[in-house]
Amino acid sequence: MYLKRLYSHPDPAKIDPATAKVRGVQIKSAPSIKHFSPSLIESGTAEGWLSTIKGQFIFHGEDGDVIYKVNRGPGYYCCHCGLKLPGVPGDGIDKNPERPGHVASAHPGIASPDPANPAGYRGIAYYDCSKVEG
Amino acid sequence: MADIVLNIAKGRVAEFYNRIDTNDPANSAFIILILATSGIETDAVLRDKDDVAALVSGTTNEVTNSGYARKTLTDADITAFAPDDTNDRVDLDIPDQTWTAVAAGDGWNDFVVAYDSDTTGGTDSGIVPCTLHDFVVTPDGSDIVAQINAAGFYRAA
Repeated sequence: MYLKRLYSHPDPAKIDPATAKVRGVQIKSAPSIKHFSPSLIESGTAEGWLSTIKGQFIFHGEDGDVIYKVNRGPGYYCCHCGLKLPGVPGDGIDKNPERPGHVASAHPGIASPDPANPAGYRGIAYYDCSKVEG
Repeated sequence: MADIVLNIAKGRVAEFYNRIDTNDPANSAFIILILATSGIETDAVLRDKDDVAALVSGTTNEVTNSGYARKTLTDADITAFAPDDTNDRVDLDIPDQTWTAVAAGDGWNDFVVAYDSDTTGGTDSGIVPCTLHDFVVTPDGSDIVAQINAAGFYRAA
């Protein structure tokens, strides 16, 4: 995804980084599937070019809105069945027995279908989204 | 931000990021790998390495802990490419990375971001190491989260 921030002053040469205010964005490209980091969502919301409504992220581009549906948020998920497991990466609880416990009890002896997560569950620190409009 | 930018990648990382973002080529991706503490060479040695095969050809090794695997970040995974026109720079960000249930074994020393122009190629000699970040962890079966700097993993300025 390629975003261009637009600032409050029309002449970039006269923009002071210390006081510049973002007035919007141009969305130059928007792929069908995107994993948005929480920091991007926070900055977009704070700068006013992104809204979160009913499980959707709406990017308010200068040339029109682009809408993404949030399929799942940050957290731990079973690689076999997709079940949401307790906790969120970075919450300080790095060893929750319920996470490997689910894999061991629900999918015993089955290799992880995700080679990047051989333990059979994955932690994602992003919003897994698919574009629905724009 | 990067502790080291490898010489082969200097001036190129932002464009690698853009290429992945625009799917050009289609199978391009960043590869995240971890270097082990044991045998790690000095920064001065590592920054001269031109591909991932060379990076681990000396005493430096990739970790082999059970539960560890490389991460592949495609266009869907990297954060939006957004040049900062007020500060006249480009900060490149990727989501925090998580490895689950990583067993004891190798100590972890460095987090490496590398560029692979063709993930179907399957050879480390075709992967360009871009940045190294200090990431010292002693795995013990816990989940390991690499938290990326709020500004991103690399700044082109």
